[in-house]
Amino acid sequence: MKTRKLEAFPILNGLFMLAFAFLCLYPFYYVLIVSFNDPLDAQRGGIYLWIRSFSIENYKAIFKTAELLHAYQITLFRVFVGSFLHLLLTAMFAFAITKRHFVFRKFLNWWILIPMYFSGGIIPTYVILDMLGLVNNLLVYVLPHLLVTFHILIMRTYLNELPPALEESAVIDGAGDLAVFWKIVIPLSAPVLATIALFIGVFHWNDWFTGFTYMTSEKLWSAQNVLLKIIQTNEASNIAYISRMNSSFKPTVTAESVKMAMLVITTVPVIVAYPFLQKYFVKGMMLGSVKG
Amino acid sequence: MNKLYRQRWLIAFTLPGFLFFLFFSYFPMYGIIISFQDYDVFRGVLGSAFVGFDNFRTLFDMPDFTNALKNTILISLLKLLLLFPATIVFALLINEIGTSWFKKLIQTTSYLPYFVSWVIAAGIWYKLLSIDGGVVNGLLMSLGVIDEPFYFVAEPDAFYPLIIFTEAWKSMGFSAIIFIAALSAIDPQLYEAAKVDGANRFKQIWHISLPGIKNTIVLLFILNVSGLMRAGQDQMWTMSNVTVQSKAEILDTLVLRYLKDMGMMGYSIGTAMGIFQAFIGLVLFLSCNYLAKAMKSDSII
Repeated sequence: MKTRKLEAFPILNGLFMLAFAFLCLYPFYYVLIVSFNDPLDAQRGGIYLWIRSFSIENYKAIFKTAELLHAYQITLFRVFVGSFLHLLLTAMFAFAITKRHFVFRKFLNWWILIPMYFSGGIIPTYVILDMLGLVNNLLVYVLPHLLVTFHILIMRTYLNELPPALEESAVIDGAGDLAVFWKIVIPLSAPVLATIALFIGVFHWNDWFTGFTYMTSEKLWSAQNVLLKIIQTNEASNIAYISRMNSSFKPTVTAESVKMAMLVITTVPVIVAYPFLQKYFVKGMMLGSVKG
Repeated sequence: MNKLYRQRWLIAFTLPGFLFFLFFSYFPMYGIIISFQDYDVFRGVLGSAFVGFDNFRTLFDMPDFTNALKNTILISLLKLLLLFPATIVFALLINEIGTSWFKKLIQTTSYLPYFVSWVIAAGIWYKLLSIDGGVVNGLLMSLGVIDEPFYFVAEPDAFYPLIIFTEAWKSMGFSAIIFIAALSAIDPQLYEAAKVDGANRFKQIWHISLPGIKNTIVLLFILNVSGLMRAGQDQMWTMSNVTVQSKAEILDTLVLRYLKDMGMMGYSIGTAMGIFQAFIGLVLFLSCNYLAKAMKSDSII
């Protein structure tokens, strides 16, 4: 009896793991099939495993609603502009503080390290950003997220491990710091830049806090903010909300079904980037834990 | 001067970073002094009147604050006591999977929810648990467990189980990574030797796997305990609604509410709350670290 019991363990464990994986995936699948089902038909309920009546009305409704498209444009703006500037500044800063002869090297190392452990908190940060004129200003999506100490440290570690000979030969050929940075360091840093780009890109895509805190005007909200608002208000006021946005809105869709389509659109980029995400984030997590 | 000129590019490269941290980190740190002021937007941080510890005294008399503090500690403790051990068990079980492609498949799948925002997670679970047509109610009703739909997200008593469950769903797979990595670093010969000695699978886990990741467990436990004052702002803000608000209000969300709803009246009190939270966090971190050192285990600092 005892040996049979032990052999049952791998099977039970495998079944448990399958159940866990199902639980991780099914919610996404469920939202996907509801979003592609006919909205009025979906109201009857009972759609659990497959699409009962295929329709793309929900997606049409989103693409016809200017305000929703605008929110996605704002999200794309911050993902691309915010991430690009973040990468550029991170690379520049990390490059400079790896130069042993740089006069401000020691000072700057401390300068970036302290904010890792101390922060002013939500309200003092708000007060300062308000004084800087960043409330209800699109730049608030970009400027306060231009640098993250952890990303500078990852980049610095990477640059320190590059063979110094490559740079030295360029310097002998008369290249200055600027030329070395653009022609040698940037091309060699592709892997670490990709890692940081994923970190910051996912942050910009997922962040709802910045828009919620600093944008009192709903016109400046990102997709996550609009989605949160729709999720947290009830059906009746949602229909009012969407029809206010879109005057040609006819009840061929329900607020609930449009919500599902928005969830899908907002999740798809994450799923597309997922193979890379999981690889680089796992690495990043290990880096963080080793350093911590 | 000549030296500075020669390094002009290095200076130019770091100037934006210097200004960035000055404006977005150091100025807000300085802004903390508004918790000792009766902050007035028109007079600013420099001109407002100082009131000493008045704001802190007011804070401790506020029912809002004591309720949020209670909720914060309760939710954090529940997460710590239930999810921390569950994550370790999950890592141990993944480690026991013999087939490597299956192991990889399960691990990769388990991270997926980690990468979507809490806004998305809340939207998905609100739909799954909804009373009209939600799959969970549909399933429970067809199984005969309940007769009519149960309004999961609007039932105060169901709120904490819901929070624990969704937190597990979203982050357990990803949190398990560190434990799985630590487990894979254990010398396989130890398991071979134990097998020869007749130890079964559970004895191997108990005597080899767990002691092998003891340091990792202690380290992460310290980090978790020092985060006790942070019960998960994103989750609480997105998953809660008016009916469960008295149970869902934590310090982080209360600070946010003070900022959004009370206008500048709330700034000083809200900042005082933030300081209280950070201070307790620091005390917890230092004492756990001290305990870990006393136990002759790894410490963080």
